[in-house]
Amino acid sequence: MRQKTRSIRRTTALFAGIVAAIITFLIPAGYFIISYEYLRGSMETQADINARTSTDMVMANPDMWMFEQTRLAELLQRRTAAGVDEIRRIIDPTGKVIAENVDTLAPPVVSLRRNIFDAGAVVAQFEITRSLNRLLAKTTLVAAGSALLGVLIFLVFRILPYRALVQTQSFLDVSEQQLAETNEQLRYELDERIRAEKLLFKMSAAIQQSPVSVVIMDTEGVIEFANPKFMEMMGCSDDGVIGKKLYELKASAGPGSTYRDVWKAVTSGNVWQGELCCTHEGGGIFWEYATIFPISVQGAVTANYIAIMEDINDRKSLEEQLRHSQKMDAMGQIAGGVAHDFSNLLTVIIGYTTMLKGHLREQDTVQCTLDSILSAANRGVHLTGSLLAFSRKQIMTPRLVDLGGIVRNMEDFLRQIIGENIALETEYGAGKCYVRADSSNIEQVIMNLAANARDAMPSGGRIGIKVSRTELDSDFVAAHGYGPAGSHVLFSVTDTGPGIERQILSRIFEPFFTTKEVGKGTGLGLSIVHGIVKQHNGYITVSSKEGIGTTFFVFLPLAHDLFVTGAEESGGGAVPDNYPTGSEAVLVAEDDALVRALVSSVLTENGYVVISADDGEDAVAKFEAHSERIGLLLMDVVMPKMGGWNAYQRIREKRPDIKVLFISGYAGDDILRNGLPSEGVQLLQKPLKQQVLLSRVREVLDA
Amino acid sequence: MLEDKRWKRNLGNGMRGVAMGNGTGTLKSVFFWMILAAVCAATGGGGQAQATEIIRINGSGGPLGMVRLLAQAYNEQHREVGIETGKALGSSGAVQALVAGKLDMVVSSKPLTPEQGAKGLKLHKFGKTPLLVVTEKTAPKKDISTRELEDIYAGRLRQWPNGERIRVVLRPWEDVDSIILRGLSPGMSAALNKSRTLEGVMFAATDPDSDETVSQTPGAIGTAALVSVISGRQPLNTLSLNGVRGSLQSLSRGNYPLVKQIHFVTTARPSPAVLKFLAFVYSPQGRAIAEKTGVLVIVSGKDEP
Repeated sequence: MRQKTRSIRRTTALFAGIVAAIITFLIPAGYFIISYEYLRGSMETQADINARTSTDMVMANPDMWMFEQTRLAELLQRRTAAGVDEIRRIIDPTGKVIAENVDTLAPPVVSLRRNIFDAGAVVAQFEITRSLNRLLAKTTLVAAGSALLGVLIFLVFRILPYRALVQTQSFLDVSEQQLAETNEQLRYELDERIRAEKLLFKMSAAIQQSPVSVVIMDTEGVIEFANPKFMEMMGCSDDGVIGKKLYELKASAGPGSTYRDVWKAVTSGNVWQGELCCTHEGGGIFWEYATIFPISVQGAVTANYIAIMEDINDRKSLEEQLRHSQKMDAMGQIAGGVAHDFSNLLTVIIGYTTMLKGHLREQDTVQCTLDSILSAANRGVHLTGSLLAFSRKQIMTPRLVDLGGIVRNMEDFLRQIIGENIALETEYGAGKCYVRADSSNIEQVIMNLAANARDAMPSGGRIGIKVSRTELDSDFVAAHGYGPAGSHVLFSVTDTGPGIERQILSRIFEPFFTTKEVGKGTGLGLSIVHGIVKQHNGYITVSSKEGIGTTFFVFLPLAHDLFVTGAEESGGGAVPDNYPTGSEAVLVAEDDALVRALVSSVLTENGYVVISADDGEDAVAKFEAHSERIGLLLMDVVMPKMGGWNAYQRIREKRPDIKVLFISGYAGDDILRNGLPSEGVQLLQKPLKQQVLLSRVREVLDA
Repeated sequence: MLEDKRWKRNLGNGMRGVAMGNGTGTLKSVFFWMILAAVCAATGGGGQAQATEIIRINGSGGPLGMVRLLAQAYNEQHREVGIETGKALGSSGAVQALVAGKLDMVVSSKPLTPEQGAKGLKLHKFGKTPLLVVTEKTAPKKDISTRELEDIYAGRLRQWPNGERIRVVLRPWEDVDSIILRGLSPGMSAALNKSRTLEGVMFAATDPDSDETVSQTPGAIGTAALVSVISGRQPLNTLSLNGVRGSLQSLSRGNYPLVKQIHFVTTARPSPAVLKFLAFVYSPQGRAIAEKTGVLVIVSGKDEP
C-alpha cells in the first residue's frame, strides 16, 4: 500500500511536472514564435509597401531619386499608429545608405530587406530593422506568468489527481483483496468440485465395474439405476430393468421372508440383509445375498434405496455340496455302523455254521440247511461289504496301478456284462495313468458304472469309456469343492441313454436310491462308486441331458511316485484253498465274546494255542503272564478301555519283535481314531472267514 | 535625348502652370505668362538643341519654379547654355546631389548645415517668399486665425463652416515649411506635433506634391509658398492669416509671420556657366523675374556672387 502510494505520488508528480513544464515552456515559446512571426509579417508588409513606394519614386525620377531626401525622409518616417521603433534604410547595391530613419533600438534586432527596382533592375534595397527587445521582454513576462501558471498547475495536477488516484487505488486495493479472496474461494470450491467429481467418477466406476450388483431405487422401489453386473446377472438390458421393481424382475426373498417384508424393513429406515432368489431372463434361477438400505441425499429425508447384491451361486453350490456330502457322510456312518455290527454277527454265524458243517457228515440232511445258512450269511457279508464300501470303511489296500491298464484288462469282461446290443467304445490318453488305488475297488467302480449305463439303455446304445490325464485348476476345485488342484486321471463313462431327470440328479449317490423296478436294484451301485472314489481322494460328478445321455466323470489324483514293484503291479497274493495250521500261542483280544469264542475255536481246532482277552488292558495283562509263549497277537482294533493299537504298543515295549494281526469291523477314519496307522500293519476285515483268518494268521507268523 | 524629353515635359508643365495661373493671378500676370509661353514655344526646342553647356539646377520645389523662369529668360540670351531643372528634389536632397556632383547649383530654402559648409558649399542668399495657408479651391474660407489653425492641426476643428470635413496635408517634420509653421506660435508647434499622431491626415513630401494634394483634395488645407503658388500649377485658395494676406508687400512690411527663405547653393568653385547664370539671377532682370514669381529679393545687384 505504501509502495503503491509512493508510486502514485511519483507518477502524479511526473505527470504534473510534465504538464507544468509544457505550460511553462510552450506558452512563452509559442508566444515568442507567434509574436516573432507577427513581427516579421509586419516588417515584411512595411518593407513591401515601402519598397513598392520607393520603386514608384525611383521610376518617377530614375536618375535623381536618391537625392529626393525629403520624399525619402517622409517615406522612411512613416510609421504605424503603434509607433514601433525601427530603423529604416534605403541602401544602394554597394551597401551605401541612401536614406535612413533611425530610432534607437536595443539589441537584439531583426532585419529584412526588399529590393527596389527600376525597370526590373535592382537599384537599391529597403531595409527595415526592429528590436526584439520588447518582444523578449513580453516573452519574459509571459514566461514568468507561464511559470506561475505552471507552478499552479503542477500543484493542482500534483494534488488533485494524487488524491483521486490514491482513493481509486484504495478502492482498487480493497476490490483486489476481495477479488483475491473470491478467487481463492472459487479456486477452493473448484478444487473441491474437481475432487468431488473425481471421487464421483471413481465411485461411479466402482459401481459400474463392481463385481457385485448395485441397484438404486426411488422411494417407491422403482429401479432408477442398475450396474452392468446386475444386468449380467439378470441377463437383460437397461430397458428390461430401469423403471421396474425388484419383484417384477422375479426377485424374491429367500426362505423365511417375503418381498413385502423386505420393503417394510427398508422403508422403516432399517437395513435388510438376506438372500434373494432371482430368475434369470433365460429362465434359470440364481441366488444373491442382498443388502438393501435407505439413503438420504444432501441431507434430505430418505431419497433412494440402495440394493447391493452379491452373487452367492457358488456358495450356494458349495453349501449344497457340503450338505450333500454331510448327508452322504451321515448315511455312511449309519451304513458303517450297521455293517460293523452285522460283520460281527455274520462272523459268528458263518464261523459256527462252518464249524458245525465240518463236524457233520456229508450225508446229513442238515448239510443243506447249513449251506442255506452260509449262503444267506455270505449274502449278508456281501451286503455288509457294499455298505462298508459306500461308507468308505472297508479295508483298502492301495497300490500304484495304471488305470488305463485296469480298464483294458476289463474290456472283455465289460462287453460280457453290457450285452451285445450295446457297443463299448474305449479311448485311452497318451501314457500311463497311474493312481494309488485298490485295484479291486477301482474295478468295482468301473463295473458298477458300466452296469448302471447298461441298465439305462435297455434298448441298446453305446457306452464310452475314456481314460486320460487332466489338470484341475483352482477355479474347478473352487467351483466343485474338490480337493487340491493338480494333475489327475480322468475316467469317464458315457451312455446314450435317456439321461437322468434334473430333480433326481442330486440323489443318485444316496444309498438305496434307485429308479429301477423293485427287486432289480439294490440302490447301492452308485453309492459304492461314490464311496470308493471318495476313499481314493477322488471326485465324481455327473452330467446328464435328458434324451441325450449321461456321463460320469471320475477324477483320481495322478500318482507321482512311479516306482512300481512287481507285487504292486500284479496285485495281492491269492488265498490258498486249504486251511493252514500251526502250533504257536495266539493272544486273541476281542471285546465281542461271540467273535472271541469263534476265533478261539477256529484257531484251537487248527492247532494253535489261544489265550483270550476281553479288551486291551486284559490283553496286556495276559501277555505279561504268558509272554514267552505267545507268538502272535490277534487284536480287535476297537475295544473298550484300551484299543488294539495301544495294547500292541504296550506289549511291544516288552517284546519289540512280537507279531500282530489286527481285525476290525471298521476301516478308514475309525481305525485312525484308535491309533492304527493306515499302512505297515496287517489288518483283517470283519466278518471273518475261517479260511481267510487261518491263512492270514499263518502268513503273519511266517513273515 | 532623355534629358531633352524631361526638359520638354518640364516645359509642358510650365505651360500647364500658366494656364492654371489664369485662375489665380491678375490680368497682368496672365499677360506676362502669355508672352512667356509664346517665347518658350518659339525658342524652347531649338535652344536646347543648340546648347553646348548644361547647368543642372534643382532644389526646393516652390523656388524651383522661379528658377525655371529665370532659366528660360537666361536661355533666351545664352543659347549655348542649357539649364536642366528636373523634378524637385527638395533643398536637402538637392544639396546632397550637389555634393555628389549630380547638380551644379541648388535653390534652397534652408541654410547650410555645418557639415555641408565643411564640404565647401557656398550659400548665396537671394530672397524670401511668404508661406501661405492654402485650401482646396471650394473651401469657404478666406482668412484664418492662428487659433483656428492650431485647432485644425490639433484635430480640434474638423469641419469647415459649410460642413465639409477639414483634411490636413502635412509636410515632413524637418521640412522647412513645417519648421516655419511651428514657429508661428507655441500652440501651433504643439498642434503640428499632435497632428502627426492623428488619423486621417495626409503627407506631402515636396512643395509640388503638397500643392497638388491640397488642390485635388476636397476640404484640404496645407501650406504653400507664394512663389510656388505663382509659379506653380495648382488651383489653390490662399487664405490670409489673422487678417494679413501673404504678399511681397506684407512681407516687406514685416507684418506677415510666415516667411520662407530662398538661397542658391553652389560648390566652392562653381563653373563659369554657373557663375554667369548666377550673375543673371542677381541681375535686375533676374531679380525682376523673381519678384514677379512672388519672391522678395533681399539682395542688391552688388551682392552678386
